[in-house]
Formats: sequence, C-alpha cells, structure tokens
Amino acid sequence: MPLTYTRTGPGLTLSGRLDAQNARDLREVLTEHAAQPGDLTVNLADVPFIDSSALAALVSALKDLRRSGRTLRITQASAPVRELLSLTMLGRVFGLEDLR
Amino acid sequence: MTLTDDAAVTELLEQVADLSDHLVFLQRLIPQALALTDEAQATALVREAAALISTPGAALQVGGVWHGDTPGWLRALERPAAPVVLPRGSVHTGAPYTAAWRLTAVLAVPLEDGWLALWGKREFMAVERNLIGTLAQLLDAALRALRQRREAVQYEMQARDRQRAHAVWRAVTPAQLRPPEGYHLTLRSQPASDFGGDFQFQEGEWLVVGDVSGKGLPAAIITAMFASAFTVAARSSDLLSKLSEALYGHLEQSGKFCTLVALQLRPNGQVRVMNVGHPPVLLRRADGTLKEIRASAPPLGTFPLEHVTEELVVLHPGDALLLYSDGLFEAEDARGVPFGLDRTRRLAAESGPETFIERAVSALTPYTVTDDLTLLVLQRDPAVPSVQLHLTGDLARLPEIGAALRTVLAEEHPALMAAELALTELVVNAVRHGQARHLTLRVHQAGAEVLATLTDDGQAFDPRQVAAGTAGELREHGYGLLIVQRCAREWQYARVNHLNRQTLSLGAPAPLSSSPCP
Repeated sequence: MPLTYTRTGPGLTLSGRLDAQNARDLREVLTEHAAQPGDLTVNLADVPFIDSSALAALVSALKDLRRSGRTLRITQASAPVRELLSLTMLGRVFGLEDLR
Repeated sequence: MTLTDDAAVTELLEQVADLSDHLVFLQRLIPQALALTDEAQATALVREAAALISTPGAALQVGGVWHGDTPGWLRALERPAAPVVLPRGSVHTGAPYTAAWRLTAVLAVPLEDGWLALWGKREFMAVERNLIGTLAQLLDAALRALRQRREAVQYEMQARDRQRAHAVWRAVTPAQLRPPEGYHLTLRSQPASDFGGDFQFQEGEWLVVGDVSGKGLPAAIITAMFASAFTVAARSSDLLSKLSEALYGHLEQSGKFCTLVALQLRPNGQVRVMNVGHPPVLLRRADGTLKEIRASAPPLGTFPLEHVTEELVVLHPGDALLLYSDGLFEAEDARGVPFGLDRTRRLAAESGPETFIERAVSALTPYTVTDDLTLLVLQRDPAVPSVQLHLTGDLARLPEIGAALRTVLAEEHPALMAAELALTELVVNAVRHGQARHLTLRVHQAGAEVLATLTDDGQAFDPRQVAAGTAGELREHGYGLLIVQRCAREWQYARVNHLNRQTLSLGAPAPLSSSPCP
C-alpha cells in the first residue's frame, strides 16, 4: 500500500496504513520533511493501522531532529495509533498526553 | 385239580396280585416323581418300593450323599456300573443279617448321579428287579429335572447379580458423556462382556479415557477404584500423580496396569493432553491434517509415575481429538490380520469428526473385536466463527490480516486492535528474520480474547526467547515483540515438522504499572 501524505508548512498529514511494507517510504518522507527548519508535526488522525516498523521510522526521525535541538510532535492520533503508543509507552515522547 | 395245581394257581394269583400292586405303585409313582422337590422325597419313594416288595432295607445315594438309614457296610460298597444282585452271603452285611439263616442279598441299581440299594431278603425276583429298575429310571428323570430346576434358579440369581453389577459399572463409566462447553462429543463404549476394562470419566473440565489391562469383572473392579480416585484427583492441580498415588499399589498387587489419556478442556479451545501409555491420540485439524499425541509415560502400574509431558493444543472450530482403545486396531479379520494403526490414521484423516465413529464401526464389520472397544471424538464446536488465512512472504498482503480478523470479530471487539497488531508483528518477524514464505494463520474468537495459531516455514525461531526491551525507551528495534508480549495472555511456541508454530491467546493489553520515561 503506497504512502499517502500531504504537507502544509511544518505539518505533515499521513493517511492510510503505516506498516512494514511502506515504513521505508515513511522514513524518506520524514527525512525529506525534516530538511526544513523548525519542529515537525505529524497528523495521524487518518491512519487506520500502524505497526512497530512505522513506529521505528517515527522514532528514528525524532532522534535525528533531537540532535539539532528540534522535535517531532504527533498532533492528532487515530485509535490504533494511540493503542500502539500506549503499548510502547511512547505517547509522551511524541508530545501526546493522556493516552486513554 | 391237584394240590400242586392249587399251589401253582395260588402262587400265580399272588404274582398277579403283586404285579397289580406294582402297577398301582408305578401309576402313583409317576406324578409323585414329577413333583419331586428334594432327595428326601426320592428316598421315601425308594422305601415305599421296598415295602411293596417286602424288603426292610433301602437307601439312596445322590451326588455322593447317602439319604435314609445307611449302614456302614453299605457305605463301603461302590456304585455298580449296572443293576446287580449281590447274592446272600457274598457281602458282609452286618447285624441283623449275620446269622446263616438271615443272610441277605443286596439289590444295587445305579442312577445317573448315584445309586440305590435294597436289602433284607434272601433273593430278589425278576419281577422285583424290574420294578426297582423302572423306579430307578423314573428317579433319574425326576432328579435330573430337580437338578435343572435348581441350576436355573442359581443361574437366574447369578444373572440378576451380574445385571445389577453391570448397572453399577455403567454408572461408573457411563455410555454417554456430557459434551464439555464449546465442544461436540461422540462416544461409543462397547465392552467385550457385561463389564469392560475400558473406561471414561468426566469431572469439571477434565475428561479421562483409559484401559485397565484384562477385561471382565477384575478389570471392572479396578475401573471402579479409578473412578473414585479420579473424582478426588480432578480437584488437584496434579491429577496424574494423585491418581498414580491412589492406585499404584493396587495395580501392582493385582498384576494389572492401566493406560489413560487425561484431557483438560477449556471452553476457548485450549486443551491440555496427557498420554500415559495409551495409543496415540489423533489431533485432526479441520482441513484433515493429523498430528499424533503419543504417550509420554509408561502405563500406570508398570513403573512409578515420574514425569508426564503434557501437550498444550489449541482446537480451533472444527478441529477434533480422536481417541480409541486397542479394541479397534487389534481387531483381527478372518485371516488374523489386525485392523492396525495405519488404517486407523487413514480413517481419521479421510472421515470428518462427525463420521469417524460410524465409519470405524462399519469398517470393523469383517473383523472380530475381542476386546473392549471405545471410540471417542471431541470436536471444537464448528459453529464458532473462525478464519484461516494463507500468506506468502509478500508484505503487501499484510492488510489481509486485519480483514480476516474482521470476518470473525466485530469492529468494537476489545481484542481486535491488539490482535491485528500482534499478529502483524509476528508475520513481519517471520518473513523478515526467518525468511518464511508460507504462513498460515487460524483465528477464532473466545469471549473477550482471540485465539490464534500462526505456522510458518521460516528458520526455527522461538520469538519468546528474545528480550523485548522495555516500553518507553527511545530506540528503533524491539517494539514488535514488546507489543506481542503485552497483548498475549498466553504464548506458546513449538517447532513441528519443520514449521514454527505459535499459539496465542490475545486480548486488550493490560495497563503497564511502571511510569513512562520522558
């Protein structure tokens, strides 16, 4: 399943499944998007499924950004994304509070 | 008419009178003999006959026992092979027949089961011998009838006893069992005689099927002991050692042993199987593939029970366990060729769980079953929604996992998200790290949980052995297995026939107690 995204300034909106099959594409999109200055915001409201491979891409991007004093925030998250972040306890790292 | 003639006529008349008396006696004798209820009555008839022919001594021996007054000299005599008159003076007959003028002849006539003797006269006339011969024949018929009536009564009592004992045995090892929740159960229990050595008991989630060596009453007694020990043992977590403890001594003393399969059946399809010396249990998957669960310990009563490996299996809807006793595969045809285990396996694979017993019984028609025959099928309710999905190494097919789950689970099912996530992680793992190219996923709903079996042809790898790392840590690997760990209530792994097989019970994750890292 190809990756679908839209960019609006610092914001990146992803839609569709994020899994092992398109995690590499996700990494590229994130890297490319991080080339612009400032923090990165990612909207995952329209992501019906996300697995640990896609999560690894997000974590990798966050680590890169942190090295230059920036960060990656998830602005909105669908229920499956919240589930994954809750399971791995990474919600706060991405700026999401009060998962569940 | 001369005096001689007179005397002759008188004698003739006397003889005719005697004969007439004899006839009257015989006429009376027949109904009396037919109504005979014991040996005392028979003795009375012999005495009556003796009086009729005017001889004072008479005795009857039946079945080695003398009836009536029997002098010692008579007891010393042996039963004659044919009717015989021992002439006077030929036997020492003791008092009062010791004086020369009182010497007596003895008439001895054999019966089927004894003999009778008359004495006290100097001689026995032909007509008298005939009368006693006829009496002996009648007595034979009467005593035979008496014996048969007694045997019939005894037999009837024994039969009634056996009938009652059979009812007790049947209550102990019932011909019908209650289907455990979530399963279909079919049983055929056919003992070789009134009692069997095969048994089946049920208590709570436990079901035990077994076979005490030998058959008939001795085996049934051990079976009954088993049944009561089982009821208590089923409440213990260690059923088998409790059973062994209760029975080992008795089995050893009576030179018997016992094979059994103990099953603990949970309503969700999870089954613990313990096979102690019993023929292989056949696990038949819904698609007809068979797996054998062989004995992991020798029969009880042979060696002290040390260790029994229990097999944990998950029965998805339509899967079944097939159990059978040696009465099936040891049945022989006319040429002495046994039915065999191979044929049993073939039959199990070819016929569905619904028809296995029926087809086995009809396949046995040309065979002689000499032992107890027990056939039992436990099928996980095929009506429970389940799904099977075949995957390849192509990760583009990952969305099919969620789609398959949604065919058996409602969108709001609490385990859906966790199950999709965990199963996706395991599939990706098997493809990426194990190079799996053929994967099969079977899933069914079990209350708030999902039971899943994933088999893959990748390299042998038990993912449970990998340290999954902790949650909340900022790293790029190890989240996958952490996710599975947190979603799995139970997680089993086995390498079977070059395949990795994982069985999981998945549910909504329990909240973590530790606080997240910043």
